[in-house]
Amino acid sequence: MIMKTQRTEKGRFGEYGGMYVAETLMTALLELEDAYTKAIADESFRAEYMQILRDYVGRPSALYHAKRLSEYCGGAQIWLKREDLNHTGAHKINNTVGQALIAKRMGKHRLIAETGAGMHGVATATVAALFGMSCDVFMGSEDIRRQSQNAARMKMLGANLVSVEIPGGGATLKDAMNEALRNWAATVDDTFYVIGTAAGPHPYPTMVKEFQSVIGREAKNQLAERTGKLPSQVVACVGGGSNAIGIFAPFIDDKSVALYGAEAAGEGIHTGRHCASLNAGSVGVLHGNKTYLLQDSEGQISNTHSVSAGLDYPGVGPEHAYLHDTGRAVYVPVDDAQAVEAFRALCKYEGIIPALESSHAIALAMQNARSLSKDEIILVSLSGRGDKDMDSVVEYLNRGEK
Amino acid sequence: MINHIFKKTAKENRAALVVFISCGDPDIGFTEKLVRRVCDAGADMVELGVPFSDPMADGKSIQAASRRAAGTSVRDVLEMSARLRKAGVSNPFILFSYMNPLFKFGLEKLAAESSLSGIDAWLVVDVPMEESDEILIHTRPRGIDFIPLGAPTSSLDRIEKISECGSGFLYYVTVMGVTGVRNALPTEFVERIAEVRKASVLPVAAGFGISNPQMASLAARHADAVVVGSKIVDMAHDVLLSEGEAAALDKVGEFVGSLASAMKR
Repeated sequence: MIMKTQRTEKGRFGEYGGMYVAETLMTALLELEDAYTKAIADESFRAEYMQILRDYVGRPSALYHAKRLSEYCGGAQIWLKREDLNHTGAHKINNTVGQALIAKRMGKHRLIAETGAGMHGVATATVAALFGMSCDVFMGSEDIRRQSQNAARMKMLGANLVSVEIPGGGATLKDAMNEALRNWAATVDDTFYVIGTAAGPHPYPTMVKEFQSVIGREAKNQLAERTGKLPSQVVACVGGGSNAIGIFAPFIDDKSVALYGAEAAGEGIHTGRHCASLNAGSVGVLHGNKTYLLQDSEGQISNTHSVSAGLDYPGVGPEHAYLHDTGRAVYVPVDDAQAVEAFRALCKYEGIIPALESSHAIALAMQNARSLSKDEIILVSLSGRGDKDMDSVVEYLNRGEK
Repeated sequence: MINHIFKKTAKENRAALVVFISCGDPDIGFTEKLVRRVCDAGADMVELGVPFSDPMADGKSIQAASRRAAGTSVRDVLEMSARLRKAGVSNPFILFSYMNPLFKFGLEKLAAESSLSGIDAWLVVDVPMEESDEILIHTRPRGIDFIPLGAPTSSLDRIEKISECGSGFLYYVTVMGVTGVRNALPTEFVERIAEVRKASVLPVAAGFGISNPQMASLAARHADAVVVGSKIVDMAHDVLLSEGEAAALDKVGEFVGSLASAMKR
């Protein structure tokens, strides 16, 4: 039997990844792969990208030794990579600057994006304004409710915010991504889809990792300059996993460095109300890639829950699926209560209000720190700031008091 | 294998009519009756849609139908197919879904059970040529057709390659975007479908948006087959709600009859 087609090995991480999309989108993805490959090899592209990160985003972002938090935990030294200090308040802009520059090279004048917590939506609306492009952001109605400030920011920045509804309500990131893909299929000629996480069809997982790996490269250099050491552990939260893969990237070959991802366990894995796809999911295909998914025995995607809108997604980036299988990274469930506790601890001991997403990483770092010695280092990706989450945290705490 | 259908329709100087049914909308018992009715009314082939929770390539009609059909499994559809075969329905059945429900069922197991249940072909919306080997290694040895898709964005070179990776027919998506009822075929349709047929080594079916006998008749003059989906899904649902099962089957049967008449060239 002769197979006339070749399964693409590009964009595969072990068995994960791939390009599982409707044919309508394939030509655009192949064009994007080509444009991305050329751009990334082009010195002038890299220079323009790095200049915008410096002058506009404010990179390099600070690396901060959280001494009081470390003391409180009584173990390893916790160092925070301050992506919360970037323009727009999260790591998301590292990626949207890169993708918008590629859109420009491809002659596309309209950007679309999906968003959960709204940080990627804001970051996409921001670069659309910066480059004079039009922008539509798809956001679940439930997320618009719980992240109303970000919804307002996107509109203020000139983006058209599309509220994605599902019957019965409760639309979140997954639904927003479905709708963005539907819109893209109708508009692919002039529209560039800016995916916000290290998931989706090839080349997105690879491209997003490339643009987010600036987090890890900077942190590695900063830590070496300040301490002369590698960290014992690198910890990041994982929804789709873009900030995690970005900070993991330069450490993957350093075998002495343990890599930890914090998955959102919501109300607890045993309750079924969570989004820990690596810990509680199984392999499947969604949104263009093969990866671990939360699904039932019939392959229908499950409803997810997390106090943080940005982690509220039933899948995970394909490279994380691979790192999980190979054991190179360890993914630990962190529930809502632990995340909110870490949120409060970072406020109290360091005067930093972290995003609820990032609070999952803080919680895991605090837990891990206790079992390490005082001269060891845990590097944590503080992926975003928590101003957007004040309502959610207050709502959560009030619920607990009742 | 379904290529015999095209020998028959060529002899009769007409296009083949393909009808999409959303299985389990609202239950598999109704679907079984609906499939029999559309076959009796002149559909040459039936696409048996297995609902998926996240139908990314579908518009409002099939999204809603998929929600109504939630809970219907691949197994339910295979069993229905087997019952229809036992009852003597011989029209080719195309198992139509997204990758995940099929993958979760197990592709090898599904290929084996498809053969036993009278499924003739698979169409997997989110599996393009680049990912098709994963499916073909299971379908080809069992003689199950893999229906590939072409789109307005596919170059003619690509259409040729796509057609070479599948069998049965090439499903050509006539419009950009998602499934759903539309009022007219795109202006460039006639020219484009001629180019696509020239490039494809397989017969070409035109689908997406075709929702009345006039559109179907135009498509039938230029394509080897015509697919109608959303309109039938909407009609079955609306009439079932307002007038009940017998009326729904009658109305859909009548509509499919009018489409079948429109297949003549």
